[in-house]
Amino acid sequence: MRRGALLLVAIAYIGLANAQQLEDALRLFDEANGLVESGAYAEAIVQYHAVLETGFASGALYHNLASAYFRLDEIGEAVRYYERSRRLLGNDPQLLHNIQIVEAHVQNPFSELPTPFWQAWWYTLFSQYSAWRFLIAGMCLYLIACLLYAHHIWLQTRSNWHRRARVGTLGIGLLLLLIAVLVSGERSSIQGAAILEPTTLVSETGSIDVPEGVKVSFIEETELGAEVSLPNGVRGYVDASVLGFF
Amino acid sequence: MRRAILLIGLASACFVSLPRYSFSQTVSGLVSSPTIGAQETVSYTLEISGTNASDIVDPGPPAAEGLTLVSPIASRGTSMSIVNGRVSRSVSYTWHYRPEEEGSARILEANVTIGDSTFHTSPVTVTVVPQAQRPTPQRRSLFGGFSLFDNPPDAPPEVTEQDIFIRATQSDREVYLNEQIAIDYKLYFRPGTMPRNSRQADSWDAEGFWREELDLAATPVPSLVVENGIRYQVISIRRIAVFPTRAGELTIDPLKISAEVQSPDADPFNSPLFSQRYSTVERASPVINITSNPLPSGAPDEFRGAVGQYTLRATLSRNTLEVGEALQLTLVIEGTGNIALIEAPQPEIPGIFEVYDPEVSISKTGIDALVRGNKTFTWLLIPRSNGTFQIPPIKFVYFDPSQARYIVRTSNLDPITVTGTAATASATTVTASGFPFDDIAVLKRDPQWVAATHTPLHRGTWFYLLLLVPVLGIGVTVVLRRRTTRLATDTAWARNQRAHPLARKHLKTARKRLSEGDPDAFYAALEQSVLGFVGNRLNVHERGLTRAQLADQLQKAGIRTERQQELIEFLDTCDAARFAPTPPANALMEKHYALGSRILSTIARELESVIL
Repeated sequence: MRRGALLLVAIAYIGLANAQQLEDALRLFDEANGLVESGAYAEAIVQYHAVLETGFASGALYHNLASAYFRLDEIGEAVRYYERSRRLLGNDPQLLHNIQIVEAHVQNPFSELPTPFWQAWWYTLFSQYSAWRFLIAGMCLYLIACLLYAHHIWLQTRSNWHRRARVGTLGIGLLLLLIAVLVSGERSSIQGAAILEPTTLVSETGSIDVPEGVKVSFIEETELGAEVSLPNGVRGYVDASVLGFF
Repeated sequence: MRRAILLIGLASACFVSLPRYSFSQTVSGLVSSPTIGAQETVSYTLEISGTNASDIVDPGPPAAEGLTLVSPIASRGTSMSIVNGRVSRSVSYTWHYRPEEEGSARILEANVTIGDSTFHTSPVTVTVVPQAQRPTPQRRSLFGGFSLFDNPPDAPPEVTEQDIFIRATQSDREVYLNEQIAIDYKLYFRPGTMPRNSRQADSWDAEGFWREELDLAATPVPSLVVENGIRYQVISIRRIAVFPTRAGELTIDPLKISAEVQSPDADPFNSPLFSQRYSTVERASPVINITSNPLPSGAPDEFRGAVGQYTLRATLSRNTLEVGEALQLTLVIEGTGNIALIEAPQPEIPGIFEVYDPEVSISKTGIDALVRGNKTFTWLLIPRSNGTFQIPPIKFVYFDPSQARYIVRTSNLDPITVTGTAATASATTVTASGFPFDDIAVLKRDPQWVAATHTPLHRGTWFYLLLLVPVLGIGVTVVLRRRTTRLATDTAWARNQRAHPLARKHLKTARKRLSEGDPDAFYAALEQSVLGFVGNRLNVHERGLTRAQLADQLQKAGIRTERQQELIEFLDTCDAARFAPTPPANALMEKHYALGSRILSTIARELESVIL
């Protein structure tokens, strides 16, 4: 009884602390938006980063942060945070419009390799639905399947429909849980990086100038620098400090 | 009469085409021809101008190598000319020399004393050729002219390389990459050649160079020079500035021209009807070799390849303006070098400004033999928000070949103050979705908060616990189901399972009866607790057991004899107490309760050890 009370108090404390942090995040977010409206972009950027330090983030926050960077002509940072925003907002029309505008400012001399259809589908899937949705749906079906199995064990039912229902719900539930895990992994893994300042990529065939704002695929960190792949598929090494991961 | 007219004409022409003689004192040593036959003589004339004849100490004949002086007595002559109202006089002394042998001969320098000063001429080289190679003298009539009925005149004397040639002068032979070199192609011709209709005879190229043509005077005036004892008129025919675009040994093709010329030795009267006889000659300048050195290392990051000497000037058209108004940032780079290829420095303009591509204008001059000028970059800036903004100092880096180092020019700008607020985008400047045309939609206001640091599902313990709980539930179900089934089918196991709970239940009842003061019921419950426990654990019906049967069962179960005895004595005590005429005292009942509990736990322990 006493332990239960302590647990409740602890949960309540954590909840309240969380609520306080959330309130702080919201206040800072509104202040940062006000600074953007008044044209104080540099100060707004500082404020948006302060929001992130509270432990909370949002697609709108990344979006506004990217907009402030764009206003200061920091195209690389703008690309980086718009891409982060895209992870949370998916194909939000305003976000897509802004990304189009920013990419028009990037002096990208590289053609892009065609995206495989399955990759496009996968990207659409995980940009449309969050991992939580898959998790909740998958966990519900998984629980139902477990209950059906328990029911079958207790009552020793021999119904074919019962068996089909068990197998079906378990299969679909596990599949949804797998997708949830993959989507969650996709969200938390590095998708790529934006070049934050003009740099030179050293490849086997020579050096290539890479302008600010170009999106590259990060492969790994090596002794030669960060190994990346350009949009046209050329691989090479750049200084890791010029990469803004998203 | 015709001769008189011709002489008057020639005199007029000479008068008109007289070069600009300097009015300073000059001394020149001239020969009649740089090439003579072995049987001819060459006259050497010492021409002194710009002084009074009385000031000149009569000079002696210069010494010669390979030539013999015919007579040490000079023939002296004076002349006077009037140019633009100025009168100039000259005095000449002429000697004749006879060649000693074929080959090269030299007339050494002559010394002339004018007043207190002594002047020296340059040595002159004369080439002596076999007489057969020299043209035959023209035949004249007795009256000094040609007769229409005479035989046709001989071919005119040949125009030699010494009569007309091209010389190229260059400002430097070894330069840095992209450093400017001025090349001046000059045509030297003897006054009598009178070139005309000159044109470039062949293509000309300077591979590895960027070229800029320099200006030439619209009406060039020939200058007069003396080269190797020969008087030449000189004009610039092409002036060009070249900039090596790569390092290494580079070559510039010779410039070839063709022109119609007369022989300077031709007799103007050696033609029917006094017509002049021109022949076409081609001349080429020497090949020019340039060594282009790479620029030294250590160039600042802002260096974009400019080489020369430059200044930088940056200005803003205004420093205070409203949002949406335009201002101009102008950058002027001025100096000597390859102006055309100068790249615009990249000013770090704050992102608040909409920046348009710069307008570029170039102004060049090449009058003083080098390309000079300025390049102007003008950016149009339109602020999209208010505030005070500072454009960082603009840097322009170039390499100065004269100092052999990189120079950084910096120009500072005043802050820009933007007032007012941005107007809301009008309907015509938004897209179909309502977003600004050609600009971003800045803010989104609905934050759907998530954790800033996202832990993927597969790294969270709770996810695996969540998956495990239903599986555990199924496991529990399986266990419960098996237990239920065994309880229903295995009586001994079921009684064994129930022994402890039932014993505890009866003990609890006994305690209750004790507190209620009901000895009969107390001892019945106490006896039931112990006896029922033994019966359940041994799976025997305890109700009909005699004490001997009970002892026998306990013996089979491996309970020690003293324990058996203790149990039986306890049961007897309980029976005696139940059926005693007077109820026992509470203290005794308490004692029996404790004894029963102890026996129960002792028996349970021994049975457990035996069964295990």
